[in-house]
Parts: sequence; C-alpha cells; structure tokens
Amino acid sequence: MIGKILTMSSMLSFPPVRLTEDSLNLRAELREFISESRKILDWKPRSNFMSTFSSEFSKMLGSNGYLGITWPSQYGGQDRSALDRFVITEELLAAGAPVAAHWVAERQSGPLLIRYGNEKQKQVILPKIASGECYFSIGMSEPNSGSDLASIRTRAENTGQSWKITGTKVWTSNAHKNHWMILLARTSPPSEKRHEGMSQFLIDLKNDKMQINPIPNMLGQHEFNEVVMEEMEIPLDRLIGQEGNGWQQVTAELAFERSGPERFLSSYNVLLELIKVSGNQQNTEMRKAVGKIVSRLMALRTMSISIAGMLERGENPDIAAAVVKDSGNDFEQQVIEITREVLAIEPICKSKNSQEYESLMADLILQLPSFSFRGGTPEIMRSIIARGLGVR
Amino acid sequence: MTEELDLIRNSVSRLFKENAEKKILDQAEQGKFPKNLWKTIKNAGYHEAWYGTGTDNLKIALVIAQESGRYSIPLPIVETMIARKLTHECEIDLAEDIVTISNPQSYDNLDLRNNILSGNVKGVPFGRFASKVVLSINEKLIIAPVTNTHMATNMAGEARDELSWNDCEIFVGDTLHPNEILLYGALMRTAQICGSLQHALEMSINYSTEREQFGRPLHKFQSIQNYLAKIASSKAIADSALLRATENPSESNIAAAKACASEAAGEVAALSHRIHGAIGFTYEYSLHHITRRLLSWREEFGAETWWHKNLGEIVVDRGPDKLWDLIVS
Repeated sequence: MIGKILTMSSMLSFPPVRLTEDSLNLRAELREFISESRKILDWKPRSNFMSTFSSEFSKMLGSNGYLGITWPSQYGGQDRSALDRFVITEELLAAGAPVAAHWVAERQSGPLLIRYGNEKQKQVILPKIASGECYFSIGMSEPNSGSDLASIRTRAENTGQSWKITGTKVWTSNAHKNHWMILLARTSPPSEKRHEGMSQFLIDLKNDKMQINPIPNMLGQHEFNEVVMEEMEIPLDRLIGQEGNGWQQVTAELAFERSGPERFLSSYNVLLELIKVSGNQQNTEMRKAVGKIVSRLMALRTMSISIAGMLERGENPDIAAAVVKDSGNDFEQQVIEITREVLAIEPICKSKNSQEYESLMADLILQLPSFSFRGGTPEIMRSIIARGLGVR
Repeated sequence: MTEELDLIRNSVSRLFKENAEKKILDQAEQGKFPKNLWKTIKNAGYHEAWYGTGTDNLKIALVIAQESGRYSIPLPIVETMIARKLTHECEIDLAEDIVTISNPQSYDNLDLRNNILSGNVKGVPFGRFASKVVLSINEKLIIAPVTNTHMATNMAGEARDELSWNDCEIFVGDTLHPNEILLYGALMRTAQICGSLQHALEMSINYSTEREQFGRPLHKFQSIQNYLAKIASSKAIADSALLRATENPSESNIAAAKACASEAAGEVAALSHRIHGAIGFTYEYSLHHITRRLLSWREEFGAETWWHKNLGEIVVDRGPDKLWDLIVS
C-alpha cells in the first residue's frame, strides 16, 4: 500500500515551470500577429474553440511559423519546446481566435504520426499540417462504443493488396471539411484481453470511398458526422504504427487531447464581460464572483502548463491530464452558475457573430453539455484518476 | 532547486512523522505544550527557515509548513517563522523565543500612544505559549509581550487565544502594512492545508482499501472511487494554486491560493468523513485531527469568500484587458 501511495503522489504532483526568455518573446510576437490577423481577416472572438473553422486563419498561422513548432525541422517543424507551443495555444484561445480548422491535426494527429507514423506518412502530411493546410478528424467513437472504446466493431482486414474496412464512426467533428481521419479499428477479433487487436489507420476523407452524413447538434449546427465505411479499400501503407498496438497509441494521443488550455478557456469571454460590467457598479457580490472564477482559473492554468512541462520531458501525464480535463469541465459549468447568481441577464440567441453578453452566455450554456464528453466523459476521467490512486 | 527541495521535504517529513504520535496530538489538545517536540524542531532550525534574505528561503519555509500541516504538528512553527521574518531587521533578539502573530482582521479597539498599547486581539495562534506577539498598528511593526491571556481554541483544539493589554509598554519598529501579516499568514495556512489534504487523501485510500463491505473492499465501489478522485482533484487545484504563489508570492496569487485551499479543505473534509463512516467520527481514530484542522484553517487568515472579494477587487480595478497578463504572469 505504501508503494502505491508513493507512486500516486509522484503521479499527481505538478512541478513548477519557468518560461524562457524565448517563450516570453514568442508571446509578445504572437499577440502582435493576432491583432494583425484580426485586421486582415476581420474575425470575431469566439469562446468555443471548435466552432470557428477558418482555413484562412490556419494558413496564416502556418505561414508565420506558429504551427507544429515542436516537431523536427525535416517535417516542417522548428524543434522548439512544448512550453513554446503551450504559449501559442493559450494566447490563441484567450483571444478567441478561429482555430478549429487545424486544432486537432496540430494538437494530436501530428504528434501521433511523429511518434508512430512511417516515413512516407510523416513526409507527406506533417509539413502540410505545419503550414495550416491539412486538417484531421478523430475516428474513435461508434454508435455502440462511446466511453467503452475497446468495444469498437469497425474491422480492418488485410487482403494482401489492401486494407478492407467495414464499420461506422460517429460524432466525427468536421469530417465533411477535413482532409484526413485517424481511424481506430479492430484488426483481430476481440479476445479476453480486450485492449489488444486494435490498430490505427489514415483515412483520406476526400478520396476514400465512404459516406459522410451530417449529425446536426442541439444548436442546429453541423459539426458532427456519421462516417459509414463498407468494404472500403485503402492502401496497405496507411496503417499507423504497429498492427495491434492501437490502444497504446490512442492512450498517448488522448493525453495531448485532455490537458490543454482549451479545457478551461471556453468561458473566458464571459468572464471578461462580467469584469467589464462589475467595473461600472459598486457591487461586492460581483467582485466576489470574479475572484472566485479567477482563483480557479489561475490554478487550472498553472496545472495545465505544468503538464506541458511533463510532455516536454517525455513523461506520460495521462492521470494529471484527466484531472485538468475533469476540473476544467466543472470550472466551465461554474462560470455560468456563478455569473447567473450575480447578474440577471436573459441569454439571447442572436446572429452568429454577436459579441453581446446575452449572446455569449447563450452560446456557452448551449455548448456546455458537449464539453463533458469531448475528449472523454467525467466518469471516465474519474476512473482514470482512481486508477492513478491505486484503487482500481 | 526542485531536487534540493525534494530532499528537504523528505527529511522534514520523516522528522514530523516520527514525532507526531497520536498521544502528543491528544495531549496538546488538552493544553499540554509538547516541549520536546518544540526542542527538536528548534534544533532543526525549522522555526526560522524563512529568516534571512535568501530567495529560496520562502520555498523551504513553505515545504516545512506543508509537512507540518500534513502531520498536524500542534506547534507555532509557521507563526514563529512569520514573526521572525517580519522582525528580522529589528534590533530585538528573538532567537530563543516562541513568537506568534496576530491577524489584523481580529483587532478589537487597539489603541497605541507613543509606546503604550491598550486593547484586545482575538484568535492569536498559540498565544498562551508565546512570549511575544507581532502586530501591525498604524502601519508600524509592533512587538508586544504576551501578558493577559483568555484561553480559547479553534475547532481542532489548537490554542487561539484572546490577548489584552492595558497601558502596556511595547516595541515599535519600522513600517509594516497590516496586509503583510495577513498575506503571510494566508500563504502559510495554504501550505498547511495542502499538507493536510495529502494526509486526508492517504487515509481515505488506505481505509477504502482495508475496509470490506458486501464482500469487497470499499474502493471497488464506483461511488467511492468517485469520492477519491474528487478529493485528488480538489487537492490538485489547491496544490497548483500554492505552487503559483510559491513561485511568485504576489497579493493576487496568495489570494487565489488561500481561496482554492479553503474551498478544497471543506470539500475534502466532508468527503473523507463520508468515506470513513462512523469510525471517522470517533475520537480514537485520528481522521478528526486532520479534518478539524482543515475546517478551522479554511477560516483562519481569511476564508475563501474574503479572498474572492480581495482578488475580485484587484481584477476589476485592473479591468478586463489586463486580466490575461495576471493569469499568465
């Protein structure tokens, strides 16, 4: 038991991070870029990072060298640190920049390919992600496999000439706009060891033979899709990494997905509005509300950048990442409820780009249910944390 | 420094663990000062770890505070640390004294004329055991002798005494803003709370592993796993906020740290009791040494709502455009 506790405390400790002079310069440079790009492309700040698809903005980021900066230079990267990347992502999110197009590709698909992809995959795809021209979808969930990801049924069969794939993926964000999907499929039938026998594949969303059907969300927006593959054939070299190693690869990918500042900055614009309104009133309760939100935000940001430091050192912070994801989720909910307690406003759904408080609130409230399941549900996060505590 | 701090933490932790027997905690609650333990701590120099000007002194002091909180050490270690730090430029020699501090929030009708003090202060930590107390009156540093003591304790049985003076001659030092005592006190209590959260988590994991019901250990039940995960997350938030304040002890960072720690203290005390059931409510089982401290410390040197207001004022005064710099600095 003592051994377990020791492992637990080391897994859930958050070492300090010091940003270098270079990172601080990068921050200043990026702020400049953000305000420039706003003048040129006339984008409106939005909180929800997944609802702002702009390939113009992504390409502008890429051509200025702000994407894939941690990757090796032969693949379009700049060999910079994970902390530099953290600075870029948090500045973009705090500004509410339209980052949805490249976000998944740059956050998790590229790093996955660097770690497990073959040489051809890396050479063809990575430079395009880094230039902001190539976007990715995540092909994990299925109609009967949500949190229980190991129960997927999509099959990939090696025919000798190709992989033949049959199955259906759901909740596939922006599959109708993106270029590639990383598909998780069974390459051997389920056995007692249910995490074995899965593999990952690169799927060409523009050219492979599949059906992409929209699944409008409860706001009536088209982000999710159903992707139906029936004996779809893809070249043999589209396998990513080792056949049968899919589960380990997916787990590593998810640590990138869960710990970033997007897990607690969706409500940032609402907080700014609350501060603005509080400034015009002598209201103690409003100041308390601001302080309550900001204190948590400060803690979450420190936690998140500490995890970026762990990623930089090559550690696998999956348990700490689950804490950020779960706590970030709770935080976004609290921002709404704390704000409602001190400010009587009726959220109003107006035109898509309205910057008024009523409309920001409406958007956040309606998007909120999706924050919990994107990147894994709170229940799954808590069971990962419990496992880290040695009690599962 | 991180590795060096880990080494310091290990040796501090060992010393406290070896000495924090339940008997000593129980006797301290009955009013018996653990003299030998104080001697050990003094020999190790913990009570003056923050003394001097080294930039890492605060980090070391906070590690000691955290570990003393973890083992519920019933002694004025952090209070003496703060008092020594505040008085380190005074020409009074306090090296042999137990010195405590008085939270400016609990001053009652204090009247200072020249060097003569009258009035009351409440809730002075370990007041009855100290020879002197540090206060800030009229923005001046005051060192007053402990004379009239009305004994009181917090919910954990730690001495929190009322002191009074009637035309008493005291020492007046240089400028000291009352906020400084409050901020230092809040920072140290934050560290103690974080240590105590760690112990609450460890006890809860141990108990849910050993205790069986319905033929399986408690931790096999999903709802118990959820409680444990929740404790770990609350603790992680408090730890991160403390880390921030340790690296950069600004007013806003200390405010955020005490607020997060106080919130976590309440949540974790409640959940630890829920996991332990009836046994956790007995005097014999020592969960209460931790939870009663958590529930007391969350109020001392400012509860979360007080610091929420303080931080909110700072943030609103700066305005929305300057928030982000505060978050990332």
